[in-house]
Amino acid sequence: MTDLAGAISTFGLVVFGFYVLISGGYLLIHLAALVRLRDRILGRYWKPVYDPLNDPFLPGITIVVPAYNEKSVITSSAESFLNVNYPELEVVIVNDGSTDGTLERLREHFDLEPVEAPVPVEEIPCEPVHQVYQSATVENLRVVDKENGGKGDAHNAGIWLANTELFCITDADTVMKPSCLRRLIRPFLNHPAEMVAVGSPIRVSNGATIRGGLVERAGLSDSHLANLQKVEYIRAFLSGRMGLDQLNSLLLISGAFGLFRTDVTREMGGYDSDSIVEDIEFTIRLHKHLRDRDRSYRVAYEPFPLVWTQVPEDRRTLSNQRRRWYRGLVETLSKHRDVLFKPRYGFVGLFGVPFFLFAEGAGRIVEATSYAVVPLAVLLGVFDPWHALLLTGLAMAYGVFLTWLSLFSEVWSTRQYDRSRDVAALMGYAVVEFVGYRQWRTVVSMIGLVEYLRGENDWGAMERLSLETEEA
Amino acid sequence: MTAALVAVAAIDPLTSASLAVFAGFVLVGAATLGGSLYFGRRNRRRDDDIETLRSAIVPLANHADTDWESWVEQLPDKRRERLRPLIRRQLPHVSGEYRRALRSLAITLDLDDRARTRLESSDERTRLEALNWLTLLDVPVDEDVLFRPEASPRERAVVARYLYERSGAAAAETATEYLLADGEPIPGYGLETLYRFNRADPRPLLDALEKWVVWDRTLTVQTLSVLRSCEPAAPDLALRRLVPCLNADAAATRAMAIHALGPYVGTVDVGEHVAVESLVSDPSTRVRTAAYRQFADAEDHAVVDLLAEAVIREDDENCKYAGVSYLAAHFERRGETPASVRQLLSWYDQTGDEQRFSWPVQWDMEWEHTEPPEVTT
Repeated sequence: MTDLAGAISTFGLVVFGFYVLISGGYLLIHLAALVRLRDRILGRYWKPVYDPLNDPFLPGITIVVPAYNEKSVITSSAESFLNVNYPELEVVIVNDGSTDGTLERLREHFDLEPVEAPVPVEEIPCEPVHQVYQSATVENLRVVDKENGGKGDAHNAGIWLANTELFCITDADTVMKPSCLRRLIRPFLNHPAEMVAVGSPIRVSNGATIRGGLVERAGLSDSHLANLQKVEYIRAFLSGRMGLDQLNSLLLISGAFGLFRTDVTREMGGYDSDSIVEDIEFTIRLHKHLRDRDRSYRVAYEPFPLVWTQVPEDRRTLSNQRRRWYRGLVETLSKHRDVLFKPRYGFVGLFGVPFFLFAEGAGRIVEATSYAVVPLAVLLGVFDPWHALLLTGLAMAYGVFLTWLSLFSEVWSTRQYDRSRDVAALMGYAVVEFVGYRQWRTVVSMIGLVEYLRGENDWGAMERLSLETEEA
Repeated sequence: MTAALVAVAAIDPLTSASLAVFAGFVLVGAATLGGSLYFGRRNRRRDDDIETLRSAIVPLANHADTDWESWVEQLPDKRRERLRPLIRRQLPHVSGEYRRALRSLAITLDLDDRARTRLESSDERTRLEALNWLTLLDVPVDEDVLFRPEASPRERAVVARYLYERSGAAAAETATEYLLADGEPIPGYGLETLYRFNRADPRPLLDALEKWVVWDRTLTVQTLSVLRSCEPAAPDLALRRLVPCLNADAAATRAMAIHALGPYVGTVDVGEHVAVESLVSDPSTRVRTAAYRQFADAEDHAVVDLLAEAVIREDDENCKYAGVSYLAAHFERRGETPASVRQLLSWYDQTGDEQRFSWPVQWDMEWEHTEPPEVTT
């Protein structure tokens, strides 16, 4: 018993030290995000006297949209992509072996005609392409029909058939602001030689008022689960990614919206078709690829949200998604462990990847273990109940504090939620997150870990809701 | 304050940590909710004020003799503060009488003097915004304040834009030289301004290209991409400047130099001045495709026959397809097609008829784009 108590005591000290370190890291990231936001808010009011729509040298962009069983949303989201206000724009939808009639819906709606010319590119790193279609009514729309291969695989099909300097990846359920690409292109215009990738925050569309493919108003959903995810997304995108970008450690440009150089991506061999978190794997590999070649480059993060995406509203789908994210994170960190603590990879290697490994990777394991060990420690008398309660409360309060800091960033900068009652509600969800939801998410991550160790690798399904708000 | 903090820290580490977190909690919570209320109210009031002002300005703008000074004086202070952002937001997008009226209003508010003063700031962002105002208000500025040797590419681009709006093509030489002086890549809006200055007469740009060997490679490609879109002028000068770029180390530079020669293909004897044979044998598909595209319009049939032979030998199918598409038009105009080329054209026809479209050439064309649209002034 004494040995057990001793072990638990030692474990407790390790966990405490681990927690203090990780908490410090999160605070650093949040504060870095505030500094970046402050700079951006000031800089926001500087724009050149210049109309990009009139610029003949504006780089062309191909929006690449992987679609797997997206029948309910694909035509409205395609319309939204085609409505993006950008001079040289192509849209390539990649039907990734859908079984629900996605392709038929597209063929009917856009009057697609098969292109007779053989696919000239033999070495696209993706599953076989059945047919490429060109819309007879919309000149800049093409659809690629191929064997199912996953999101990264579908990206590659679109990227290799793109004919523009840049490509933008997005999801089929993403709603884009018409001005989104004119905003996202700015870092490329400011640094034409070095910029290789730009991301921006994604907002949750559940509960938003959407008409004609445009988000008229952000709002809260009837689904508590969706609202909890709204809080998560604000924290992750407005603080997490922003802060990491400020610290030159941005590891993830979301697959829901990112702008990249086509030539660099092809040089890298495109996305990893086998990865279930293709976006983070790609971003880390991008850093490695360019640093291994001693190339001067930049990756940027635009602070103002330009796109909206759906999140799961049922626990089963959310669980699938989070298990996949955790499996993918572990797999990616394992694959790229050679980056860890290596100065040649700059802050990505010295801070970004290690922080993800300890905070997002190992941190979940430590947290899950604590849920079992702390009560045991109290039972064994190793840990004073009052102190246990206080420390647990402190940890939760600190988490809420960081989340409220992110909400403060939102209120101060982007103000997507312009009603104070919505902000108050989100603050409430930030508290609720730490009483039940977070614990559930940790357990789900551990299931994901077990699945990873068992070699499971599937994507899971998500039921799409219609993008448009129904008239009352 | 210090004593209080020391006292708290002395109580108990856990308790002090709890108090710190609780304090942070309360502070951030209050700032968030309070901020939401404050910014919401402020923004609504701001938007209402701006709309009221805008509605008031529109009818006044139609009168040439509006007494802006009296109108501004009768405004409450808060409303007066809104005028600057209103004018800044509207000026880039309006023209005619309304634009003139906004300018007059801005000068009444001394925004021109404010911009001149802020141009001397040590903060780049302040200077950039000052330059924007000077551009929008068409205000004269001393050259020694305008041109700074240590200016960043971004600042140079904004200065060039100011010069374009003030002086148009008359400032082409000065602005082109200033934009390219540090040999670093220029931002997108600078590239567009460079094009505006040189599109009708690219001589300043051709002159500046003499220094390409010491420039950043991206700047060279940018300059060549602008030249590609300009009207041809001074063919001798163009050849003197562009032909050396065909020997650059970087394929992107060689390819873009070929594109920049494109406007001159109809007026010079390409075969005499350009080693077409070596370009169509270049290891880069980008360079070969550029050569097929630009030289397919050459008057010299010997050059085009050389291209055709190269396309027949071409290993890369995309490059071959692109080459044939460019040559097909030439041979149609010519009216006579050699036997070897007939076979090539037949292969091209078989790959698809009405539904044929241009397959992307496997990555290559940096800044490849179709004919530039007319840049409106």
